[in-house]
Amino acid sequence: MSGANLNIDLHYITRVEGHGNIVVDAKDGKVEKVQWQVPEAPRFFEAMVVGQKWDVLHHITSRICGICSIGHTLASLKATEAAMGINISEQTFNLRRLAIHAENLQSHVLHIGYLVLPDLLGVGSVIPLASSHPEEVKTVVRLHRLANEMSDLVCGRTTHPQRLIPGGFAKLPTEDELLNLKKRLSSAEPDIMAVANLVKALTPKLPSFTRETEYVGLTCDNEYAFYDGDLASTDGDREPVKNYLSWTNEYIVPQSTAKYTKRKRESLMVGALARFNLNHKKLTKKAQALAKDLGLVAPCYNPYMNTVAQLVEVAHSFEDSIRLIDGLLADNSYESRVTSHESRPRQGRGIGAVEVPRGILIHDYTYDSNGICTKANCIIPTNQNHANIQRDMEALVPQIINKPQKEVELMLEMLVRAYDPCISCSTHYLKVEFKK
Amino acid sequence: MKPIAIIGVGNFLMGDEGVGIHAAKMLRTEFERDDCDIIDAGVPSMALLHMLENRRLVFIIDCADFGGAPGEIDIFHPEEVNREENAEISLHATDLLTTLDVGKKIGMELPPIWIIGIQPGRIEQTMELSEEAEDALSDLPELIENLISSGTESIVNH
Repeated sequence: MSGANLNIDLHYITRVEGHGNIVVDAKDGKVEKVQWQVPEAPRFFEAMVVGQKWDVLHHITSRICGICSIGHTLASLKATEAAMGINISEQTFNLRRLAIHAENLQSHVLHIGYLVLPDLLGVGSVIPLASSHPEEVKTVVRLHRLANEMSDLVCGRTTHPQRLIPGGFAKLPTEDELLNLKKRLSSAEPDIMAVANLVKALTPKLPSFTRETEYVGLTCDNEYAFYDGDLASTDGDREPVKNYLSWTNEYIVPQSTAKYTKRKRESLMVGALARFNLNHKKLTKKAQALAKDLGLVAPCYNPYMNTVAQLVEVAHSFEDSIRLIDGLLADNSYESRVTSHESRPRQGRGIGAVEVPRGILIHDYTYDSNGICTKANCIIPTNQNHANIQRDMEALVPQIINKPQKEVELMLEMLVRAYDPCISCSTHYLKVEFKK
Repeated sequence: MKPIAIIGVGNFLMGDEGVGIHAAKMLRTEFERDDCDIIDAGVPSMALLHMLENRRLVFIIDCADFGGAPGEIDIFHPEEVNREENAEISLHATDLLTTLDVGKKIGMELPPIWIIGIQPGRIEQTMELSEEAEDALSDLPELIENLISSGTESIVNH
């Protein structure tokens, strides 16, 4: 009896930013080729920041990505502050944590609502979803709007923050604005639960594929790490961020223009599932309860559950944001505090890392004595995940080889989308062909 | 919130792709009307929808390949564009027209929207505009003032 044949050549898979291809060849039940290809022209943002001044670098790097612009800003500020010896106040620290929650909410809500739900509800994209499930999409839009307004309030903009500057904030949200934000976050719980209930009902549609790998993220002792922490692995290691090069080990593969990374194993995963596996005990109580309700238990080795981990992080970010606002407002002198820091540039090197929605983002700058950047290195989360996507595909295809080709294609596309990859965030210009 | 929004979109790290951002920056100093918010939206994805709500009129300035000469400006309604080639969505680079489609599908009340498209001269990693795109910017204040004061329908004729 002859085995299954597959000939998959999916170019530019949809609902993923940038260009990624899936190629599978199988003959008579034997898998001959499985490749996750990234044919995007490489981008050299590091070269663009060399020669720029220390106090504008974070504005430039915030433009690398429209989704992770707060994360790029914060990683950039942390690197610059480390190089310049600038310390930030506890108030700035807490406002920045609030900013990173805003970005996490913006991104996760959109990924779940616009990119994953269409798969689970069997429609091609969010456009038919808006027709078939308008109330669900409206709920997602409401949550997304709130996250945008939170970002606008804290950072001065929905994307590409303006208020975040070296040493502090150019402008603070007022106490009244924070109080109003707290009320709105508190009242959003029914919407979060509506999305959670929908995802819970659809979770059985997620493939049950598992493959144990190494999960890497920031970790710290006193909270679920987003803004600060050491590099940590589910394999048990923990080191300060300054040692990041031995944790990323970038390398080139023939089928991809993007760099791959690995540590001790052949691949690793970063992002919500990695953070959950590493730090789940530090989630807020409601987030822990939601994880339990959704069947997400650490350690979880199913990459498709990354979406569920994102939803759990949504609950965490809402609850933790309310706690942070309470802390900020408990300080009677909140609005009168000096928020910016007068600094003179100095020669040095600084490294900054934060957790952005897709995983660890690292910026590493070297400055000369005039505060001009002479060297830069940015390591984005998606590059850390490419090797893991490849290994997942290699493990998954033999398990599903006897399914109809269309089903195999969908499962592989869903796998890539589960990682929420951002291959390039650089161009989006309109191609216009007018109706005749 | 003011009744009219002029929204520049794009990535200013990618040459003329970011012409909308350069335009917003220039208009902030060169274009004054009490009834206009001028917004540098960057790469807003679906967040764009929330910038449109409760407006009377919106202009979106974006880099657009409509087959014109570099720096050429074309003004059009989203409905005028053939949508077959613009059906995909991604989180980061959500197509402007798809974003507007989603807004309509979920019943958002969108104001009249005009896209001011500027044909790129070069899209590559640089924070500088091409000469042609730079020249196009200087036409925008008068163009937008005319569009607002005389009514857009009288000017646009696709």
